[in-house]
Amino acid sequence: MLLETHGLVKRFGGVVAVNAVDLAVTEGEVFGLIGPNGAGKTTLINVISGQLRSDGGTVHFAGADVTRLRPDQLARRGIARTFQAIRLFKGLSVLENVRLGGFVRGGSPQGARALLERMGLAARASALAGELAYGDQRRLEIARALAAEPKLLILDEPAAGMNPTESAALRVLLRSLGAEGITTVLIEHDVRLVMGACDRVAVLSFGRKIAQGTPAEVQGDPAVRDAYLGSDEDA
Amino acid sequence: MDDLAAFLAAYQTTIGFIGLNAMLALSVWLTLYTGQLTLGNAAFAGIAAYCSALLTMKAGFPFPLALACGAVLAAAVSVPLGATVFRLRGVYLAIATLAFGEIVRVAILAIPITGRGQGLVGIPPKTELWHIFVSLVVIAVVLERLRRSTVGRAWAAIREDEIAAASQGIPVRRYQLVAFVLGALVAGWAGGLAAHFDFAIQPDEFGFARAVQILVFAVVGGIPNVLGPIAGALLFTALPAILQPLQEYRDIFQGAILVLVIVFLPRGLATLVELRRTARLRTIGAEDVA
Repeated sequence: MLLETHGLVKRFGGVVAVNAVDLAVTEGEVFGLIGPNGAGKTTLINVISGQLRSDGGTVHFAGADVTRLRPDQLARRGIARTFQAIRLFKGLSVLENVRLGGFVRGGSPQGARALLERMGLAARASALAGELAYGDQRRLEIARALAAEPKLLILDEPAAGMNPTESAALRVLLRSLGAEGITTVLIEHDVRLVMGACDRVAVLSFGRKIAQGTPAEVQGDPAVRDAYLGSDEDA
Repeated sequence: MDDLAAFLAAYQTTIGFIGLNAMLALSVWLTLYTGQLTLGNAAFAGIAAYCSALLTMKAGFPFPLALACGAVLAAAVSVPLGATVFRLRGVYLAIATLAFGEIVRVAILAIPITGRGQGLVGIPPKTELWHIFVSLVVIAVVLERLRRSTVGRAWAAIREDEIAAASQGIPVRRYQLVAFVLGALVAGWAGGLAAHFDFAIQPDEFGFARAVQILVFAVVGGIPNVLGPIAGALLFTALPAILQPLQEYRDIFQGAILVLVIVFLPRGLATLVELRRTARLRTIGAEDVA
């Protein structure tokens, strides 16, 4: 297991946003995290990547307990992420953003240019990050995360704001990352992307994990359907 | 050549203070560049000024050693201060460092060896103009090189977005503290030179008004690179002398120039050479000092 959580808990006042969640992500897979709005997906990855302190449970990464580490320490150990609300260094150039993504690796301009090429952003290298179109900003954030050569890449709704062509290209990219030894945790609402890109999927609802399995298994799970559409008893 | 010598002799004090103020402006630039607003640098200059002056006057230290001791003391004080106050953000951080400045001023007033309210008089005038300007050039070159290095790029990232910076593996607190302590070191060096330039120092010279003045130099000059703070210090130190003929209206003109620069060049004088980039930054609503 590359990433494991045991009984992970995060409370905000009286609300239990993440409630005793166990996850186990295998090396090289694309692991999907889905669930209705407010299910606790983003909170869960904020705890895993160190932005939030957990209120209980543990996180293990590459065999070590990393529960109490800061985001910069986790980045150094090989966890890179993107943000649901894009957090680029928008007053800096596109190239500079990717170089900063490679901060822990020394951030060479050559490596950064190669990544921009791969993400189709090479022509905009000297633009300011804030000047890019929305879909391009999402791709730049992924390029910045990849520049760290991470073991684990966490993507929080990367396809939000992308058109179908862009999201299809993202699916191809996600499939190729596994072959390069990069494990991915993907939060996404785009069903086609989740079904097409993920090896396994976990479903969160009200902070709890209610189902896990291959995309096909999860899709057929009655509990999952209830979580999204409401159960008959509620109706 | 004679003209130059005459000019230097006539305006020696003003020219010296341009250099000293430029160093102080650079000291606060360091924290501004990382996106932090701090107002402790006048106090750091004060600590070093008193320390180095007392060392040359009462302990017979050689001048360069006294300067170094003053600057190192200021930097040493800044470490625990920075480690404590960098939990705070924005205006709260500014107020906390301002409070520190008041503590230093009151402490100077309370300790007998500082001459209290009368200040220290009869400091040996060891500072020559070339000391000031060699120091300024060295500091400016080192800081500009630092700005273009990995450290400077990490500072820019922190200014743009602290959370994203931490996610790239940048230890945010540590980098902010380094900028703050370097700033204290630079302010301390300038403070020591000032003490031995002016022959007397008083606690009020390092108080609130001074802290704000230093900030104005840096902000009006501009943050994008080290030339901004130097330009700001040059403008506002030379203006009183240039506006001398206007006599009692001098302060009004000085205020008007300050307002005009802030309104029309909100990113500072240094952005005169990069107006297009400034316009682009404004369009995307980037951090003001980028």
